[in-house]
Amino acid sequence: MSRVLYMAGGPGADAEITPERLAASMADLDGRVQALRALGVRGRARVIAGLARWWLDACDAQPGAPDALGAPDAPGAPGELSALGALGAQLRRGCQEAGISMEMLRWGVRETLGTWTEAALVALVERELGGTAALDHDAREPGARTVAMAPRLCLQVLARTVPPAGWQSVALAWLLGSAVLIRPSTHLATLVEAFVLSLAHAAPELAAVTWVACSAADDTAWNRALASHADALVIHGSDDAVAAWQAVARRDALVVAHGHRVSAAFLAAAGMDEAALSETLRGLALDLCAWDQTGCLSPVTLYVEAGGPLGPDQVAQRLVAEALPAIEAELPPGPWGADVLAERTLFVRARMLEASVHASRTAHVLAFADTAPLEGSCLHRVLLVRPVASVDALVETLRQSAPYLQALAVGGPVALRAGLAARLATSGLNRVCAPGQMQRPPLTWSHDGRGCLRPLVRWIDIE
Amino acid sequence: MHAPDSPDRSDDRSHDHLWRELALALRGFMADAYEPEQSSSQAPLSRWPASRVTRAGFTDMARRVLAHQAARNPSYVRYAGRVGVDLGRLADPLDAPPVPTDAFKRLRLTAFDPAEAVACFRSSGTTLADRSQHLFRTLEPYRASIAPPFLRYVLPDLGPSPSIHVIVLAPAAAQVPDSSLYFMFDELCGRFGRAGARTHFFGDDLTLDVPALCGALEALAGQDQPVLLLGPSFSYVHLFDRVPDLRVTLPPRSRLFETGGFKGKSREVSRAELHALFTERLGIEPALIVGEYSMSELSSQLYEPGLRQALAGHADGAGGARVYVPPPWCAVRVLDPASLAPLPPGQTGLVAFFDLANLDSVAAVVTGDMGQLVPSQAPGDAPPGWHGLPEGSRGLVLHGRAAGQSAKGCSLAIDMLLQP
Repeated sequence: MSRVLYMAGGPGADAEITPERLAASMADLDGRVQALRALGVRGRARVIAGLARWWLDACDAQPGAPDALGAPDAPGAPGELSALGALGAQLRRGCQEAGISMEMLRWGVRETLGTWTEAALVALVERELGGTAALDHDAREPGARTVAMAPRLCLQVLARTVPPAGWQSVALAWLLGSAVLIRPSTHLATLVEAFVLSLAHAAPELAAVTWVACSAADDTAWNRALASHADALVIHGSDDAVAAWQAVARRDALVVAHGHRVSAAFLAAAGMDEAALSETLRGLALDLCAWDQTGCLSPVTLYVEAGGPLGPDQVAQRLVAEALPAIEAELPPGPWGADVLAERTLFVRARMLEASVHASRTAHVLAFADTAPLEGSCLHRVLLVRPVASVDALVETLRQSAPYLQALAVGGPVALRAGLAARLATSGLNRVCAPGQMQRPPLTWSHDGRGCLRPLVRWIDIE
Repeated sequence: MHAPDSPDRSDDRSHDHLWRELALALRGFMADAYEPEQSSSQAPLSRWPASRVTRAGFTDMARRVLAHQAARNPSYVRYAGRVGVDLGRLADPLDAPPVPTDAFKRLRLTAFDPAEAVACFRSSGTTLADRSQHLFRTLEPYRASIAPPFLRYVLPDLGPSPSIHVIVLAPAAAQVPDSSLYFMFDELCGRFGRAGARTHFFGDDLTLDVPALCGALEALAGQDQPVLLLGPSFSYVHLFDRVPDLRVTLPPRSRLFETGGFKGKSREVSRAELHALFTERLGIEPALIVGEYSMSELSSQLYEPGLRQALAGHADGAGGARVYVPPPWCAVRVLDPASLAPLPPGQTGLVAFFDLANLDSVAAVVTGDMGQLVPSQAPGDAPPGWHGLPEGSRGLVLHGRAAGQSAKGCSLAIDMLLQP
């Protein structure tokens, strides 16, 4: 894969980019960042919210209309195509490459970008940084104060992430007043391109501070050249990818790493009537199907507390028979390549010697008779269901996954959540929610337990 | 590791008798599977070894092995039931649902009480939980599987009972008793190695005695009898890295056996690079390098036929691809990754085997390797008769591992991280 660099609304992709030409394209970075910061937090929030509305409008357009997300290309000369019509073809290609369905992308865009309102974005800054003033400062002003220094250029490495989560990571850097250089993996490159190219239409202020660089994953020299311009790196990927980028980051750069994580779900024995149980099962079905279970918030195992109305086998049966069909119709699985299918088949078959297997149209639910810690999974809609004796036993089981635990969905009394959060915080747990919400984190979610803005900010006390 | 269900012990003596009968029949089947090789003085070497096994004969034996496993391996029966297959009603035993080789990491898959195991071969891996365990009630089927195809694909020009200098780049089986490969090397040394000659050069601390090995190679280079080198691919690379100035020219018709890849090793070397090193450092002709494909979950081995074909005066015909041929008692198929339905030659899918020599475990296994059966395109380019290959195929080409690279979200298969 050759090295490519482009900007939305720029002169076109530079497919012969060199470190020298990269430096030249960044020559006016300070001026661009200054213009972005001149908007202030509220101004940037307004622009980001406007971008989100543009995408949400595209999602909500009538299917088949030329301006609908993913609609077929409209007939006629290219000039007659709306921006969205052209984007649709690109998104279809991007979904194919990313292995997700258009319906999934549309759902994810609604869920994620739907939280990007001006008020919510400003509230996020206030919540994490104590107010907008910390960012909207003029360093030349006299007087003692504490200021928050955002990165000048944030390198966003999107190696492995669900697409809208990657877009949100970029958006949060803009919110802080940072320019962004996005380095997507091959399978995300087209969706990132679609997102960035939309800036030219929906957010030119953000287009002016956004670059995308594509290259082979093992192009260390190029990665080092990219990182040399960034005073902050945000890395979404495997632990190996994180290590590789940490090795090329500038010594003075902030590095925020989102590496390996795993999530689970729990069904308590008591505290739910049949209606609540059905609702919980529908929620778990959504958690399983969202992003085809490939997100760090996707449950790999559902633990069923003993003594409840359903054992693992019955839970599996009801998930398959009652809860999954409607979700599968709404969120069809992405196109899966032979490697995914093979891994999935081998994983399920290997466990059929121990577990009963219940299959829906797109998912497999494996019901075990014994409990076990979280184990690696083939993902792609394969859920393990295991019994657990009690909440205490659940805690002991999940602690074995420390420090990689991410989220836990709890079906049962709401009061359980706080206790589980307290007992599993040191295992990495940073989100406890209701079933159905796992892949719908709020904008304020403290990704990996660190906050989403705080890790990128340097605090300076000027006395 | 989960313990399997215990087989019904109520009529153990009857089952033992049946098992001994079957084991004996299988040993005879394997011993008679190939036509005897003729020495070069009597007839030119044929392009392919001649098989005495017919598809019907294989099916009959497979049916017996499968019936034995259905009677004595409740885990497998339950598995088949969950897949919707009644093992007792299969028209073709090759339709028995294959068990993923990964299952050998999770369960002891045996058609006998594991406490009676005489050997346990494990796959490579960094933790015990990460390694398959293949238990054997007897090593006789495994022993019987080793020599016949090796003789025909690695030593076909040296007569029916060759004796050759052997150098092994691996520890002895006694030093690493859970390695099926090292056991095989020991068996080959015992069967074909020159009596009294040193074959192994690893100390009890499993470090290689490099000076002794180099000395042995140099001494053999000065003789005129061919030498056989046996080793995993990475062992040769390790030797070459340790002794960068090693240059010997082994005698003409010396040949080299290599197997395995570089999974988990510190560096990888391409096949072309490796074979070039064999020639440059050891003087081995490229045509006399034989690749082998097997795994701890199998009892049989597949070989590249290139050496035999070169000695028989035929071009490789593989066009650079590594084509492997099974022995007549081990059927190979390629399965659709989603449905596990058999695919025709030319299509890529998961590699699966029905290995009769897996008498006391599970004969039907599916690996995590992707491959395809190479279609036969010209008369004579496929082994005649039954050689474990579907009709119209001349061998198996591997395309690498299927599993472990697919996850693209931020939740990944993190087996190693979650290991206790």
